[in-house]
Amino acid sequence: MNAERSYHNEQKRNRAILLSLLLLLLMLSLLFLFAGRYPKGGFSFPKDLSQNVMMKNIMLNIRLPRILLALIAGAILSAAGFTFQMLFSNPLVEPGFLGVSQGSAFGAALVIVVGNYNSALVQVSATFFGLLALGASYFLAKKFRFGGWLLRLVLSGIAVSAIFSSALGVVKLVAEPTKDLQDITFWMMGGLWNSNWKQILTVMPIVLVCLAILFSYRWRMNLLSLQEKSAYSVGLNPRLDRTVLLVVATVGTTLTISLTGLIGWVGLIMPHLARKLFGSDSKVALPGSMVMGSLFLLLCDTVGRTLLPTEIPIGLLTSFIGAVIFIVILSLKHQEGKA
Amino acid sequence: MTALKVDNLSYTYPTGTKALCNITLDIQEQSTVALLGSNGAGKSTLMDLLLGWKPSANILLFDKPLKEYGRKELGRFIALVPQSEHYNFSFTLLEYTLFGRAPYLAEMGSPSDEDVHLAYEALETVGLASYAHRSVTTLSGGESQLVLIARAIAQQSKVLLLDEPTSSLDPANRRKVIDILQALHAQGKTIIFTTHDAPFAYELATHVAMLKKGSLLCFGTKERVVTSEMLTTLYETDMTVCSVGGRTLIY
Amino acid sequence: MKRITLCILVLVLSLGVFAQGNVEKQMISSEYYRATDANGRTLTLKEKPKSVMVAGKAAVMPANALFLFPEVQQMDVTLSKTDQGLGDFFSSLRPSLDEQPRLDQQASVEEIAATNPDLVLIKTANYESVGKKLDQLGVPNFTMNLETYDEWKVELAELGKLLKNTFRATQILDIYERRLSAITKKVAAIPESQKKRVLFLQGVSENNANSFKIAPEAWMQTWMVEQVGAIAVWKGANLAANGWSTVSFEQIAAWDPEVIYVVSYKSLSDPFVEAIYSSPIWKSLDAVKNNQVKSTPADMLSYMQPVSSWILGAEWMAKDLYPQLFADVDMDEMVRTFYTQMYSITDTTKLDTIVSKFNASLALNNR
Repeated sequence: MNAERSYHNEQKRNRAILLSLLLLLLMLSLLFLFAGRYPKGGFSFPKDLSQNVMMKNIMLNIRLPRILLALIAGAILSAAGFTFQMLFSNPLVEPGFLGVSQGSAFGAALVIVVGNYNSALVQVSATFFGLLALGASYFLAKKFRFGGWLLRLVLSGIAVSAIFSSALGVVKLVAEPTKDLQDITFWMMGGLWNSNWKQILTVMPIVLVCLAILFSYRWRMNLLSLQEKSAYSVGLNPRLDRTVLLVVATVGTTLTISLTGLIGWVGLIMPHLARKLFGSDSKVALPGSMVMGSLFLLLCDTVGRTLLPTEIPIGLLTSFIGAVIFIVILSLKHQEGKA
Repeated sequence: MTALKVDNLSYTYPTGTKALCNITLDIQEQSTVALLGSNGAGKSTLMDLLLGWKPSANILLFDKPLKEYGRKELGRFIALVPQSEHYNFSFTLLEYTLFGRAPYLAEMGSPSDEDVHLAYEALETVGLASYAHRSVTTLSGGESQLVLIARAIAQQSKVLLLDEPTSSLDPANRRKVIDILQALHAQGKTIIFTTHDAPFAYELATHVAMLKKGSLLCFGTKERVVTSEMLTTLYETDMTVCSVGGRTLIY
Repeated sequence: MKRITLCILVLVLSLGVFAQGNVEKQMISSEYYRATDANGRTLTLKEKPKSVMVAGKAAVMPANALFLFPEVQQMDVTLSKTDQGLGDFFSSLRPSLDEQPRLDQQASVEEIAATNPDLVLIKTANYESVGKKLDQLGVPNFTMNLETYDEWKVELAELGKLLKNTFRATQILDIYERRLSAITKKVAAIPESQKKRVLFLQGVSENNANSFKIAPEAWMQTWMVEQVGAIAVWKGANLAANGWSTVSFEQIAAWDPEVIYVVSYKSLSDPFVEAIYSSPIWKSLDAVKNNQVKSTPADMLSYMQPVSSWILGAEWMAKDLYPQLFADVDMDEMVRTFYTQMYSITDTTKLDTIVSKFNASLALNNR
């Protein structure tokens, strides 16, 4: 009975933490609307907004879309990483490991070089090749006759990533250095400074749908981390569920990185931190990782656009700040039962 | 009442190897059936078929073809205790046992208080209630097997399938498992388990089916079919069944 | 006695003269072509280089300097491909270059050595990747940086030594000095408060969206803006010493420059200027309201970079910012005299083509 009670208390505690994080997210998003470089670097709270056309313009058309992009990108990258980790029963996996990032970068580059730049086409191509890379990693892993499932998956992921990386390299060689190469380079480096309402309004609804789908699976995802037969035995259709979740996670990721370029580290680390904070039950850990991912990317991007007059590349920030947070949280005394 | 009826079942692997040949079984409700045989005899394949994990047309579950059961529906009738499970995430025992409640949950739902209560009871049944908040990764081999059983108990199914439930257990844990399964049998569950351990089969089961190289050697009550001749034929090595002081000894 | 002393004297003297003459001969024959490159290495060539290769990234800059010397007429020159979108002007100086294949920017050291050049010119940035290896293969190579005016002065003089035409080097540097001081003398009188606040941006198209970058403090672009008597509002903002860094619109708004010059090294600057004027976000910027966002001049190459035509860029900016001070300056004429003085182009048709390209690059500014 005692154990039951503490289980319920645990659930309550987790819900409370999640809610407070969400609240924090909202407050920070609002606060950071007042951070930037105008009229000076740092925070500025203008007295009369209705008269200050420039400030209003900046807050609504530059900062707001960028903040929204950071929130959504952080959530989906984290959720996709979490999903991959559950599905492949491997806490050290993220879409980038299985060639998804390289595949989508290649897909984008291909369209950029072969045809005229067309946002929609680039995104479709990126998503297609991202999924292709994922499928290739999966099937290769099944064919390998070396080591356990986890090892095979990581190895095939490395192989597929390498293939798409070199394919990307070839495309870059052929690319016209005057224009195409810059687009491709941007993809590889990542940054949120190109965000604008138009881009966000076209892509984000789909990403939100992806997030919603992943969220609805939040308890069942636990079961998909078991061996397939076990998941089947408790009434799931693991093949179908796996496919749906992988496709949704990949589509969400590739669409997002078509706007932001590649941003690493978030999908790998945030799920871990969420599990550390909330426990391994994905019912809470998945939403938790979404909120934490949003917070993290919001923080990184705000620093990147406020600290210096020039933009700091987001990849630099996510790895640096991410590493610090990671070390701090892992060093905290960990409770019994939560590792 | 017949729980599971297997009618002239054959199964060939996609690679071409024949795994099972003309198996016919009539498993009664509330019986405990041991599928006995050496490694590679086809026991696991038969179990996969009974679970519905591999497709078949010749199996009836409570007089309804296995194929016609919906996924969740089937989950409420049959539970599986796999031979082993890998734990890559630190679920607590209670969280893990809760997985067994999946067939009773709405499509995108999560466990209710009632589900939590049933999961906890399942843990009590296997004697792990005090570990409810420990991580599954901290369990020993024997405790791990018990948790798998707890999960299956939480599933509240009529039929329980166990794949080599004691092959990696020490005598003390083996005893525990036998006690738990005998208690479940007393509650009316139909239990089917695979093993290559004849003494264990004899102790726990009411009926025994012997499988050799994919064919059914014999099936019936243990008293009738477990004989020295049958066992010797099954294992192709001298086996003796004898009665000593009321207890049956097999060696 | 006196006679013998005289004889000995004459002997000694003539020996001395003879010896002197020998030394001179030695100087002329053994250290014929010798100079110190930008990496501080001394290169000695036994004879005049006939086949010259300009290799590696940003090779347009050393090539640019090389063509200032008349010696280039007798040289076989192989150039690298350029990643500057407007092409380059070497083919207009020497059309035969168009028929020759160009070296890839990433050409391997072996490829370079295989053509057996007498001299390879590279940027200092390529010293580690190319220069060192060429040293190992015994291929004479000479690095130049040419990123600042000071470097131009020093390195051009050294190049003159290498080609044994120090006279020409001095001549070129005098022309630069003369034209530059014509600007700096006039703008020296402008009080600090009257100086125009200028922002210089490189337009970059990424992922179908435009972003803008600023140059490092030490680079020529920043220096040029200050030389023409303006305030470079972005000075100190770019912490990267070696590259352009992206700035957000917010930061540009915070600087609130009076004039914005836009350059693009990969394509024409016009699309970026147009995008700025048609953007609802940039509308509220003073520079946009006052029509002070402008394309920068180019002919075959943009003038707003450390190539030989940088002086034209400075002259144009000075006139654009302070038209009254430079009312007597005719930019068309300045372009013509530049190419005549520097590259000995006298053909009026050629000069006209160059001038019309120059004007075309600024067409948008006259809306």
